Amino acid sequence: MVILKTINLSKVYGKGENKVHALKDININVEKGEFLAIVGPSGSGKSTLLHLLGGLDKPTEGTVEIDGVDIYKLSEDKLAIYRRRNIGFVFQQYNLIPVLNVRENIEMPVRLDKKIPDKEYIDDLIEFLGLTERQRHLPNQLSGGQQQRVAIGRALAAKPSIILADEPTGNLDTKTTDEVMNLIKSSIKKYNQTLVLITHNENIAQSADRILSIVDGEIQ
Amino acid sequence: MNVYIHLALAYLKKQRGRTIALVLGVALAVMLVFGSNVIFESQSRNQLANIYKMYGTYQGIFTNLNKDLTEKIKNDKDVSKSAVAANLGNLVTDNGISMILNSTDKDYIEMSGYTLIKGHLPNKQGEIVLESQALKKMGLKEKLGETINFKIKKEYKDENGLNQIYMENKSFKLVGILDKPKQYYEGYYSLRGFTYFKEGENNVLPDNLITYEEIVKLKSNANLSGKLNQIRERYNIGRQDYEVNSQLIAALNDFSAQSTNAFTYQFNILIVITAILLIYNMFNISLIDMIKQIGMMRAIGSSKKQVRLIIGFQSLFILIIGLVLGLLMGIAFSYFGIKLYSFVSTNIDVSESSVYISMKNVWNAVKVGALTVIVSSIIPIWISGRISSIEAMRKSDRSGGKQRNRGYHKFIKKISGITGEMAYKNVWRNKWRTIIIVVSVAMAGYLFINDIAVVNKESLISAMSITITNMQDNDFKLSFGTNTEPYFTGYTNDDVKAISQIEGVKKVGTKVSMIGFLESDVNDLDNDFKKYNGISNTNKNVETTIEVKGYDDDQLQGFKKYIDKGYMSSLNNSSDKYPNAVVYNYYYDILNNHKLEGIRKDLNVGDIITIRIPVAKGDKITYEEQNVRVGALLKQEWIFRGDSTRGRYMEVILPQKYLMTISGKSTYEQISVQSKPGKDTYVYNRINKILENKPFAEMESKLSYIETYKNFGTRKLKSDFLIVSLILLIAGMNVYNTLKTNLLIRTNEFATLRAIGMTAKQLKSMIIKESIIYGLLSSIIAALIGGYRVYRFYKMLNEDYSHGFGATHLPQFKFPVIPILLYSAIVIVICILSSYVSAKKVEKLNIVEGLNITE
Repeated sequence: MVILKTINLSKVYGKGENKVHALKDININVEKGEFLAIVGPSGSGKSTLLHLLGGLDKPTEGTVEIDGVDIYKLSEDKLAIYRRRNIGFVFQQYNLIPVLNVRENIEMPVRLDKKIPDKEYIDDLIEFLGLTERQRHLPNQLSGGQQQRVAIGRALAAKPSIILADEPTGNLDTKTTDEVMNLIKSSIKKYNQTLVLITHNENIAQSADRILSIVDGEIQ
Repeated sequence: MNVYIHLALAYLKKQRGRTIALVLGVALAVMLVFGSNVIFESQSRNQLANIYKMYGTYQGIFTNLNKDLTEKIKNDKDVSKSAVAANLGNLVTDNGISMILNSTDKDYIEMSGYTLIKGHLPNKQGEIVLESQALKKMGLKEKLGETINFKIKKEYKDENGLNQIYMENKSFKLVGILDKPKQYYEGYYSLRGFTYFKEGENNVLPDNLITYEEIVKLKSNANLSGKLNQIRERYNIGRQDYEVNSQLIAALNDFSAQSTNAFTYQFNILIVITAILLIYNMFNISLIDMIKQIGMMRAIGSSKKQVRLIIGFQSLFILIIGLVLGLLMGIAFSYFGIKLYSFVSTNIDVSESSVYISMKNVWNAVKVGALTVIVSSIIPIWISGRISSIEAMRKSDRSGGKQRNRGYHKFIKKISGITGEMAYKNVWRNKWRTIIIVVSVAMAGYLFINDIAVVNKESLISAMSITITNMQDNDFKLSFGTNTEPYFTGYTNDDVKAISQIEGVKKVGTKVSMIGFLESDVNDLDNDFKKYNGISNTNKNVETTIEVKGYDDDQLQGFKKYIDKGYMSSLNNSSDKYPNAVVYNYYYDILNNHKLEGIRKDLNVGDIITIRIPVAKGDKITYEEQNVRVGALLKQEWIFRGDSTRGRYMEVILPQKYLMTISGKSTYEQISVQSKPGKDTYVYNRINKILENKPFAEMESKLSYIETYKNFGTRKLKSDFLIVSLILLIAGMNVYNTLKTNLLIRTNEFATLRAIGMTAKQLKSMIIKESIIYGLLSSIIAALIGGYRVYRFYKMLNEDYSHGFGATHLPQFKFPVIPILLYSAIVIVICILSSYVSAKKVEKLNIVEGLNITE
C-alpha cells in the first residue's frame, strides 16, 4: 500500500539567470512500512526532496500525497497540525529545543497538539532510547548520540506513520552511528512506520529496502 | 587604526536598528537632563527678577527694635546691607483700612521693592507717600497735594511692661505715590505709607512710643532662613517681631540650585539609569552579533586592545551623535516645556520666561551623556577583549544545566499551555538580559504608581491640607485681611442676615475675635516659649499675645470633640464672678523644631487667668483686664482641625455675647458658611456680590483650596508623566530590540518548532506571551517598589502630622491596587507592541531557511 506519493514534483529557486532547478519532475511512491534511503552528492536536491515530502517547503510544481491527502492543499496551520500528527522529523543537527529537558523535547509534538502525553508510552520510548537516567537533563548536557536519540524520540512521540530523517548520523562517530541506526530501524519495526532517510553512508543505504539516487535534482 | 574605525562604523551601519536605539537612548537622556536644566535655570532667573520687583531685595525684617539694636544688626557679621525705618504706628481710615506708617528712608523703600511713580519722597513735616493700591482701596484719586485725614494707632508697652494703645487724629499731605507690580497685589500684602521723620523733631508720635524696623540682606545666600533665625536668636528678638521675605528666599534657593532642583534631579537620575540599561543591553546584544567576527579577528592576529578599540570607537560615535542630537532636542524641549511646566517653588507665572542656555548646562549635558555611555559600555568593552577565538566560534545563547522541575512550572503550564510554558522558559534563558529589561521597564513604575495613588487624590487633599481641615464643615469663611483695623471693620448682623437668606445656604456661623494679652508670672511660662518669643526673666510679670474669641452656640457644639479636659458646656455656666473660658495652651514652633509646645506650665481646668482685651470707648481703644476661669482645655489637634490661629498664639474662647459686651464690639470678624450640596458656586458668587463694597473683605473657599491643590497636583502629574513616558519609551526600545535579537538568535529553533508541528499561531502566541511575561515581571517589581513608596509616604505623613500637630484619625495606607493594575496594563501593552512586529515576522518564517541557519 502506497503511503507517500509524489507526482511531477519540482522545485525551482531564484529567478531569471539565477534560476536553479533543485528538483525536476520527481515521481516516487513509498510503500507503508518501507525503509527508503535517498543518496546523492551534496547539492543534488536530497534535502529539498525530504523537506517537500514533509511539507516544510512549497513545491514549484507537482504534488505530495500522504495517505491520499494532497498536503499542499492544506492551509499553513492545518499543514502544521498534519505534520505533528503524521510525520516525524530527525535532523542532522538534532535541532532540540535548548530550554526543554529530554522528556519535554520528546513530548513536544504531542503537547503541541494540546494532548496529554501517554505516560506509559513515553516512559517506554525513553527506556527504549536508553535515556531514562537523562530525562531531566537539558540538551547541552548530552553527547551527540544522546541528543540524536532524543530527536528520534521526539519523531516517534506522536506515533506518526512516516519518519523523515535528514542525515541523522552525519555528525556521529561510527559506533554511535550504528547504535542510532539500530534504534531507528527497530523503532520503525516496532511501531510499523515508514522511513525515508537521507544518507551519505553506503552501509546505511545498503541496509534500506530501497535506494533512491538523486543527481542534479533528478532520480537516476 | 583606520581599519578599526572602519569596522566600528560598518557594524553600526549593519545593526542599524540597534544603532538608532543606542543613539536615541543617549539623545533622550541628554535631552531630558539638558532640557529640564535649561527650563529650570530660565524659570528660576525669571522668577527671581519678578520677585525682586514684587517683594524687594531684602531677605528678612526685624520689628519693634530700639535704636541700639538696629545698630547691632546693621553691624552683624552675617549682614551685608540693611535699612532702618521708624515704625510710627498704623494709619487707620474711617472705613477701617489700616496701613503701616514708616519714616522715609530711601534705602528702605528701594529694598522693599517700591517704585515712586508720582511726586517726590516726603522732606517736610506732615508730608506722606502712599501706595497707589491704598488710594484705590480708600476710594481716593491719585491727586498730589491733597490732605488726607487718618487716625494714628500705635501699640506700645508702657513703663510697667503693659501693652497700651495710642490713638490720635492726624492729617497728611500726599506728595508722592508708590507702586509695585500688579501681581504683587493679587497675593498677600501689607500696605505701607512713608512720612517725613526726624528724631526729636517729630510731631507724629510721642518720642517714647517710637520703635524701629530693620530690613536686612545677608552676605551669603546659603541657608538664609537658618541664618536669619540665628540673628533673631542672637539679639533675643521675639517670633512676632521677625519675618523672612519668604517668596524671595524660595526664589533665591531655586536660583542657587540653578541647574536643577531636587524635584527634577531624581527624575534625571531615573532617565539616565534607564538609558544606561538600554545602552548596556544593546552593546551586549551587538557583541552576540559580532562575536564570531571578533573570534575570527582574534584568530588572524588582532590583539585584545584592538578588539576593544572597535567597541570603544562605537561608543564614541554613539556618544557624539547622541550628544549633538540630544542637545538639539533639548533646546526644542526647553522652548516647548517652559510654557508647559513650572519647576520653580513659588506661584509666580514663569511660562513666558525667555530660554536661557548657559555653558554650564551644556557642559552638564555633555557630562551626563559621557557618563551614560561610559558606564554602559565599559563592561561590554572589557568583555569584548576577553573573547578567545575558539570560544567565540562556539558561543551560543543556549541554556545550560540540569533543569529543576519547580511547582510553578506546572502552574504556568496549566494556565497558559505549552506556549506559555515555553515562553516562560525562554524569558529566563538569559537571566541578566531579562533582569535588565524588567528593571528598565519597572523604573517608571514607582513614580507612576505613587503619583496615581497619592497626587490629586481629593480625599487625601481634604484630610491632610491644614487650610482645608481648618475650614471644618464650612464651605466658606469670610474675614477681613491684614490691611484693616478690626475695631473699624467687621460683619454686621445685617450681613449675617443677608448671607443666611441666600438660596443654597445651609448654615451660617459667627465669630468675634481680637488680639489680647495674657498676664503671667514669668516663671509660669515654658522656657522654650520664652526663648521663642524673646521673653527675658527681667520682669516678674509679663504679657504674651493671645487671641480672644467668641463663637455662636452652634459652632461651639461642633468643637466639643476637641476638648481635652473639662467641658465645653462650662462656657454657659459660671458659678462665681468669673466667666469660664476654653483655652488652647499650645504654640507651633515654626522656626526650629516644627512641633507643638506648651505655653503656660501646669495650666489646669479651674485655674483663674488674667487677660487683657481691647475695649472700644468712643473713638479710642484701650486694653482692659479680665479674670477668667479655665473651664476646658483644647486638645493639641485643634491646631489642625479647629478654627485655630495655626499655633501662632494661645487661644481663649469666651461666651460670644459676654465678649461682645465687655469689648464693646458689635460686629463679627468672621462668618462661616455651609452651603447645600451643588450650590457652592452659586453661594460663592452671591456672597462675593455682598462683599463687593467692603474693601479687604476676604472669602476663603474650601472648593478653591481643593482646586489650588489640584492645580498644583496636575502640574506635578504633567511633568511626572512626561518623565514616565520618556522612561517607558527608552525601556520600550530596550524590550523591542532585545526581543528582536532574541528572535533572530532563535530562528533555527523556531523553524524546528514549526517543522515538528507548531502552528504559526502558536509560535506568535509564544512570542507574545514572552513579552507579556516581561511586562508582568516589570509590574511586580514596580508594584513592590511603588507600593513601598506609597506606604512610606503615608507613614511619614502620619508621623509628621501626629508628632507635629497631635492629629489623629489620619488617612491610612492602602495597597495601591488600581495604580498597579493601570501600570501593569500600560507596560504589558508596551511589551506586546514591542514584540508584535517581530512576532509577525516570525509568523512568516520560511521553515527550510530557518533550519539552515545554525546560530
